[in-house]
Amino acid sequence: MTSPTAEHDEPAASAPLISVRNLTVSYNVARTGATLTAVEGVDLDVHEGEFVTVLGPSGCGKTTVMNVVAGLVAPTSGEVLVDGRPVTGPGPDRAVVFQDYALLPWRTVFDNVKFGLEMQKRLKGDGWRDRVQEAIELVGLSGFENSYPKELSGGMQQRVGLARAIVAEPRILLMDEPLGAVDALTREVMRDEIEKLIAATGKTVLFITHSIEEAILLGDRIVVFKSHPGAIKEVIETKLARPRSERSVQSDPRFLELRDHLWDALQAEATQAAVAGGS
Amino acid sequence: MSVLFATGGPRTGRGGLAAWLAGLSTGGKAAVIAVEVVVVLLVWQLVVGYWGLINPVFFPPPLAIAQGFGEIVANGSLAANAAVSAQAWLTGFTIAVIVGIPVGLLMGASLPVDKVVGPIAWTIYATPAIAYQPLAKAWFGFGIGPVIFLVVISALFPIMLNIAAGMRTTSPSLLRAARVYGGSQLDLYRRVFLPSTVPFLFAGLRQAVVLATIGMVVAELSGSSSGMGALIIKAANTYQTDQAFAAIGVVVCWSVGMTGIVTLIERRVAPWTRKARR
Repeated sequence: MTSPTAEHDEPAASAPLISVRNLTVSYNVARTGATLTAVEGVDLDVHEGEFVTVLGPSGCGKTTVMNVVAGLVAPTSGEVLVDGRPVTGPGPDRAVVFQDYALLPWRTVFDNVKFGLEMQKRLKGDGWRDRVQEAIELVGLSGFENSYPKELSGGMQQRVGLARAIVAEPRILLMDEPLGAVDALTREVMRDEIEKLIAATGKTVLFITHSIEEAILLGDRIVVFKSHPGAIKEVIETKLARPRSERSVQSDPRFLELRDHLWDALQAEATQAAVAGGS
Repeated sequence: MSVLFATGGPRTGRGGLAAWLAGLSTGGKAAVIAVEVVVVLLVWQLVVGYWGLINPVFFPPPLAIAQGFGEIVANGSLAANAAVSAQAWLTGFTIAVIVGIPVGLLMGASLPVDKVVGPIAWTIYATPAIAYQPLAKAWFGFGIGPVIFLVVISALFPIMLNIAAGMRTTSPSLLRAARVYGGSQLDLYRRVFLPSTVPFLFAGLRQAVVLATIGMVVAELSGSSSGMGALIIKAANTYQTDQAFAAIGVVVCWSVGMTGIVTLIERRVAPWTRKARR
């Protein structure tokens, strides 16, 4: 498969931070014995400081690609390089924000935020306390340090998930539909906040979503997936000025153009998926 | 930020008595229960004691039971028998906890162990404790031995099987989060599997308290010269049903009290399990 990133005008001199090369992942379905191909022949380069959104219908394998980059799933063929080295497992250079928050219900906000540092054996000295506190302030949860996750709204729980990822100081932030489970109003507020936060920290982000608006608002580039099997359909540069906000972007002609284009692309996908699913 | 506070789930609509009960303070709820108890006792006293609609030998009224309680306290039979029972119960329950927790953890952690121990555990758990009673006498004689045995066999399996279930139902998403941040296998067990099993441990302990008490009384009912079960049988056999009911009341208080202690410990060590009252 030829790389659809040919039109990409990023300076080619710097090596990509994440390099997905001809990645194929298939699973054996234990119950039926059949082999299911989640993604096939995916090529994708992400450069340092880039914010890449991955857009596609559910079941198109976009989460699988993220899991391979995170080191949670091994490639069936092909490889993923991070900073030039093949990924063999999770590492401190990558952190994940999960769709279902994945907070430990028995831990307070503070103890959840420190969880990543704790797993990475980085709770030595006193500096970590200040860093945890800073991360909590950064996501706007000051005063909730001693609350349990179930006492917080979905949006606040995801803020905890975000703080937990940020405090681990990864170079790459992997976000798996982080706003998929929060309500619409909170989602819009948090999109803007994530935009600001990432701009301030300069992290490299792979952000999975099935929301067209989210993909455009947040991404420098949008990777559109198709399903059956999961593969990259096209890669589009948003070319929208930053800082962006929900309001400023929505009236931009470029936004409308992108939205129409992506809408057509996804609708064709969804129609095909429905036909394939029904056969 | 204030927008975020409005995102909680909607309260389910309620009306009438349910809403009134749900809105009561802790003291108010206690008062409702107290009134309920007084009304039941009063009706019971009137039906049996005052109007004599039921033969009091079969179903003594509350005041007679109170009198019976006074008698077994005065003649020392309550203290002597309760001490024997408490000793057997506590010994048996401790053994069940010491054996049940590690075996349950092993079952939850290892599929082979679960496959071997699981069917045996479920079979014994599914058998009524009373069925083991005659055998327990044959194996352990007529002292405290068979009582301890029945307490252990009654309390062991709810603890063991609940813990195993708790380990197995640990959220895969929490395990994934621990792995993403580089958690070792030991970290996964200490920081994810064990804490998420704690609510199951306490659920098992609460079941175990009730079943252990049943096992204890069953073991003492026949062929035992002492213990609360023996006290109940002796009183009933001599038509002192008021004393028998008083002894049953003491056993119920023990069971309810121990369950309450388990809940108190749970609130102390696992405050996150406390469900918001609806």
